[in-house]
Amino acid sequence: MYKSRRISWRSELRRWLLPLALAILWEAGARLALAEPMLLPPLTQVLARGWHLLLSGRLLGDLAASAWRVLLGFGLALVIALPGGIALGLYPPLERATALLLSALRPLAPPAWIPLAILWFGIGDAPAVFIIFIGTCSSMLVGTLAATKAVDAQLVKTALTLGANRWQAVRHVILPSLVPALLTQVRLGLGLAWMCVIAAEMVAVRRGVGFFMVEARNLFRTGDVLVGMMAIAIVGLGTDRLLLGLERRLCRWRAGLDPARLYAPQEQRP
Amino acid sequence: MSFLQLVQISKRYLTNGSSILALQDLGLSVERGEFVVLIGPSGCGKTTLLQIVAGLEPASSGQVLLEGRPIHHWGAERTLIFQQPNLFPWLTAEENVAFGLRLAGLPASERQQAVHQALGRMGLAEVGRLYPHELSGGMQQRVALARALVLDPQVLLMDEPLAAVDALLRSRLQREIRATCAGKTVLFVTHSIREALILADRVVILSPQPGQVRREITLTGAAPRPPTLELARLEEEIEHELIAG
Repeated sequence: MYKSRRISWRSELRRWLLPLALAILWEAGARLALAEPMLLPPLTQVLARGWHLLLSGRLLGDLAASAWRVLLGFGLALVIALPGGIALGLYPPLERATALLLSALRPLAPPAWIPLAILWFGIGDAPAVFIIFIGTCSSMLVGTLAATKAVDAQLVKTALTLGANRWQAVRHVILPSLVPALLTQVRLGLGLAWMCVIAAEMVAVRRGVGFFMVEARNLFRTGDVLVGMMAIAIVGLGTDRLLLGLERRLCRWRAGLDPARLYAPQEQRP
Repeated sequence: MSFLQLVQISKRYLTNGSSILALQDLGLSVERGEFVVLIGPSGCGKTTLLQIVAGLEPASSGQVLLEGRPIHHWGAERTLIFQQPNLFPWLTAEENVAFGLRLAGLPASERQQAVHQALGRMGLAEVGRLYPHELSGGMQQRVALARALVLDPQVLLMDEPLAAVDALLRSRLQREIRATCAGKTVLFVTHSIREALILADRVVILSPQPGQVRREITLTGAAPRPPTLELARLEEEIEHELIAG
């Protein structure tokens, strides 16, 4: 009934095993000159370079520029997609009216909007913010819509028969039961937003991690390209962990599937 | 005039272009404080009927009158208890029981007192702080009962609330339901003839598709009744009747 949150050092070690093995493989491969050093410098060298760029402030400046765009574009998308998706889910005529448009817009990959974004907004923050907004809004909208339609109708009926009016049923039943799904939408959307910002910065901007990487490539600094990639990965991992923690806090009520119990061999009973 | 009257209720469903008549001109009168049990073969529209009385589904024609006034809407004075407990999983047992009281705007202190009383009556005083997934199925159904009873509804509608609990718990819950519903007007649906005969002041047998009242049996003696030979004979008789169709 209760699952333990404590993670033993053994399982902690198991989590790090694969990344460590890859790191060693990388370092050894580069040192033994199995790969052209220009194409793949040793990991330690990349890390040292990353440390240097971090201290000089260059990396943080670019990261901050990217993060600011993500915040704006993704924030705007969030404000529109979550309430919008819920409204579409609760009001079928609205869904029918927008279905065609939404399914046409969604497969349009974010980079496909870049030329238009540059024509409209020129070079700078605006086109990047636009790309992030366009790239994340429709997918979060569709995800939220699907989650809203999947809310247990029996729970809604139960609330009504306990005296709720329509608005109270939305406020006290539909919204709380949507919390886990909405957090998942935010997590997926934020990942998507970082993909969009890098794509946008590679063409339409003069600052940001994406720009930093393109510049590094032009100067043939493979190490710097890798530093940029690592920075994005670390930021992404960090924010995802943060959101996961939030989900755990907000969704304690969920029974949850315990895969360890499902797939582990049967416990031996004394 | 009866307390609760169903007047010529018909319900027609449209599915895949064809229409199904689930209920036809069904009429039923229930007195104040009466415990009426509806039985009938599956597909006779028992659940539909309860949903119509609860106001969760409109009738195609006909009226439901409560104290002579037609009902058009759902409301807490006609609470429906479902076959599944349908507890709100993000609320603790206590908060689930408090749900309707909060909507009604009862002050927190009175609310808490009423919730504790309701849980205590169901033998659930110890589990108020637990979430639904931490409760057994029988406990969950008792929380659902407490959640409805705490609102002191004029009419209690129960749609096979004991179908999902095991036999042992079932007879205990039957006693609890009759005890806690003493003096309340109850419309109780079950597919178990025995359960109907144990619980009811009056058993109403519905015919299948379209659902109509086929026969009514008024029972004497305080319910829940012990399973006497007489009751067993009646059970057999009704069973034969239902099988004969």
